[in-house]
Amino acid sequence: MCGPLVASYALATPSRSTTFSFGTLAPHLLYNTGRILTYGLIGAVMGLSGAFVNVAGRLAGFQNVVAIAAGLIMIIMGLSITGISGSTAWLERHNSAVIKMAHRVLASTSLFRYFSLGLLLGLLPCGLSYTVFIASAGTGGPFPGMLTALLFGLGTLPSLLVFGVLVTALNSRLRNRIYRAGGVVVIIMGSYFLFRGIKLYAGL
Amino acid sequence: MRPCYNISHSLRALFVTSLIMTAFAGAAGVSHAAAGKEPNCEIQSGSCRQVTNDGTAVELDIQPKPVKAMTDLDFMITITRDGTLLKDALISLDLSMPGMFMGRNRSVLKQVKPGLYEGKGVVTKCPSGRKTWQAEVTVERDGKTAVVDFVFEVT
Repeated sequence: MCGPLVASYALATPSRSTTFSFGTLAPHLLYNTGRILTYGLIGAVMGLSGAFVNVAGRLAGFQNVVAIAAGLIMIIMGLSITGISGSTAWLERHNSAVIKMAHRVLASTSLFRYFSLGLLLGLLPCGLSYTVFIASAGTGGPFPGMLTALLFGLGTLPSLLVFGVLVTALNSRLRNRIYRAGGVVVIIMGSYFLFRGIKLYAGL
Repeated sequence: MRPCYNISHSLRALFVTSLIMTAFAGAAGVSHAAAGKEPNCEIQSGSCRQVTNDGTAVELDIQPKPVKAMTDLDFMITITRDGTLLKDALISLDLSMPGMFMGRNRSVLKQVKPGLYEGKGVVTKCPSGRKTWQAEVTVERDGKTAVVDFVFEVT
């Protein structure tokens, strides 16, 4: 689930370099830092409460909206990549705080928008992270709970970092040929995410 | 005379709408497709029982019913070997989703009565919408290990 999201923002990121440099690495480092930080925060809350089900239940509604937002973000990025549409101004009129937050992230030109994106998308519901949060809840304290979740996040870092950097570097080399095709793929993946998000939201 | 609508924009909109609808249809198909094992346990209507080749009978029950994801569940395992309740065994129960790696979700069950072991656990929710889960029960005693899989649906 993380892979398609990484591919989406990596394809939407104008590559500043054709080599593996800090410019190529920075968006991915920032995104993953945000994501892992969110895991750590949730892990701390789980450890503090000691009750996975109660905390997960309270988070569920918010997570379902994030799942829908993730699908929308990917579709919007795909539309931008293919050149069909680049404007995200209509998102600002949406009532959901999460969607508005997503718009501000997409519309920003700052490098730190990737950190914000990671913070937000770290909330995506994920079976694997739920299992980790069960373990965090079982640690009996906020610090061990946080540590458990942080270590899980760090474990996912190498593969996502390598994948993201490769997509960005590939994009810069085959910009014209792969760029638009990648945008179409991102639209399809975003639609799939949106479908799943709506299902979760509707409790189906 | 200029046309009252832009054909290029209409075609683009049609293309994007078709992509999105195709993806929705594909997603609906994927989430309904069976992945891996078929259920062999109707846990929603009662307990389930399996017997291994060495004569170890394992009976699994989960409460409360209906068995739901993302709720605290009580797992009860009754073990007999050669018709006798098996005391002081080491019982572990691993919850997983067939065909999808969800990390290790293990409960170690404690003996509450001879042959009856209980523990708590949570069946997590998969955003894919799939509801087929597997409980792999491992029974260890006297150097013998028996493993049985119960595959069931949650609500």
